[in-house]
Amino acid sequence: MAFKHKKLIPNLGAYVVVLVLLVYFLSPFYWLLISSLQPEGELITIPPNWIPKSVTLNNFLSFLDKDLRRGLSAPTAASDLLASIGVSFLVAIFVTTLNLVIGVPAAYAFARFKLKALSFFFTFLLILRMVPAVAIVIPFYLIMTNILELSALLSVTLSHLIFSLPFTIWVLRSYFLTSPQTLEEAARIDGCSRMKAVALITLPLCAPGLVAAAIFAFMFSWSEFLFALVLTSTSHVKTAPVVVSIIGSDIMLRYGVINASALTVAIAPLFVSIAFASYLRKGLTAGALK
Amino acid sequence: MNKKELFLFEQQRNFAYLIIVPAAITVTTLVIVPILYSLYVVLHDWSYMRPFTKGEFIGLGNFLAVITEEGFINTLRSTFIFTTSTLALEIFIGLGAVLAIDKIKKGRMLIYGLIILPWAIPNVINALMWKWIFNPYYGLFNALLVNLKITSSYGTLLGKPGFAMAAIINSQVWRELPFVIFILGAGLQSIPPQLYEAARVDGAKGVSIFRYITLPWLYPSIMIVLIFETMNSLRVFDIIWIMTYGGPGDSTAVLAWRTYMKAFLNFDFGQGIALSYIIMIITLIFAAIYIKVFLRTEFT
Repeated sequence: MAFKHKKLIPNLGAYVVVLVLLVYFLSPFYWLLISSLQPEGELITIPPNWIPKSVTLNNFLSFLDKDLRRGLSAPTAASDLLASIGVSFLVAIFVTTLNLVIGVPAAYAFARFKLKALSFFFTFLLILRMVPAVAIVIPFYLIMTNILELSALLSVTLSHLIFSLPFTIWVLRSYFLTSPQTLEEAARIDGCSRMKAVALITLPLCAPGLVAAAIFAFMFSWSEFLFALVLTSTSHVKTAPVVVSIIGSDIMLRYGVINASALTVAIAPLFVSIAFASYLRKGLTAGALK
Repeated sequence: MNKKELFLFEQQRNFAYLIIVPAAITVTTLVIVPILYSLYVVLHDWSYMRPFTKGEFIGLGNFLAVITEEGFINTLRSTFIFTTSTLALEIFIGLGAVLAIDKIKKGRMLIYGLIILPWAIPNVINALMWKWIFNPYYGLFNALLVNLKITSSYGTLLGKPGFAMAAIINSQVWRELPFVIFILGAGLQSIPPQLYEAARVDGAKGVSIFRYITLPWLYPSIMIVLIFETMNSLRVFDIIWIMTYGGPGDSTAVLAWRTYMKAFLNFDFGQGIALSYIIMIITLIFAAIYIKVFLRTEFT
């Protein structure tokens, strides 16, 4: 009996720790969800309702209201949210595509060829990850808007490449390293060209890595705030995080609308990360450890 | 090397260079050019209003200006408090979490799947969620305090300097913990089970097993976490923009915030770049220290 107790108690402790951790991680999401679904009158009660008394979609429907706060003090209205989500989606798709088109060949070269110039370039990419975004954003802003006068959207897309591309290459390289070179060589002996061998054998083997890298790039672009904020400061085309930040700092707006807009922008990454959780976890650890 | 081998080698080399070119061009134009340009701006008396006119060479003038400026010491202090607190919390909670998760055999995938969520959402949303939780009247946090009879008052939370700092530390830890748990978890998985068995045969107890087997094996993962998280803490920006805007006063005006403020609110780009270089230098110093300390302990 005493032995059984000894066995039970450490495990009980483990369950308690994990439970507390999950409550800490997940309760803000619950709070966000119920706060965006309650009518404003029930949201601003003291003490707050732990469980909503009534549920409404009005906060979300208010995004369709063209006049919501436009022309008052806020330069951006809550009704601009849907447009900004479209903008963010477009930028993220471009960033992801460019990441794969440029990153896959580079990562393949780093994994397969042992050349001095390559290892030099690779070390350089590692050091690049140490450079803080805020150090690049200032000269990048000056060059893009002051000298080249590029459009805000193009500048944002290019700026997202700066930080996602080294990470994409890093993650993909670790996957290419683990895929056997012998299979590729066998196919080439059978008369495949190198390109064909890579496309038919190596890439399918590294599909989890490609998926992880694509999602990382997409999610990075979807979430990125500093560059988007700075580069679109004078433009009326803004990305979703920027518009949400403006909505969130607008004291004239209803709390329900603020919470609903936050939830709307969070939905896409939440679904993607739940659907691909194990891919992302493996990609993250591979990208950091290898 | 005979002629055919040489030909094959050259062909391979050319192919390697060919497929690396797009990445090299992208990185060069998007990173090297801005950094070189920033080096020029920071060393000259350069003005935003006349980007093409050559300013006077002022050497390290911008660095001297930002270092001697009033409030810089306070910024260093806030940055230090923020960085050390987030790192300590992330390592300790992260270690506790992976050791606990390791004990649970069933449903581990579900736990990992749920843990990833704070990491997945945009940082802006993270900050907005917590700002709403810390709302002085309608927020979850104060209601909880009142319910637990810790306080009976409703009043500003983020308006108090100490609480504002605690709030941004909380948001950072909440977001970064999933990554820390994944890295430490992968490190824990890599420990060969035979080691534990051998230790138990030798009569080792839980604490000494952790001290002499688990912890040393986790050193490389802890080093990775420290390097990444020091970088992330030193560049915290989104959370501050949403939750405190550097305030109240300048209590949460950490280095990255001060850099942004200098460049994009005061439009002094030279001094902004000088500050950003200081962040970069601090990051590199910390990375060097970690690598040195941990590589030494690993081999003793």
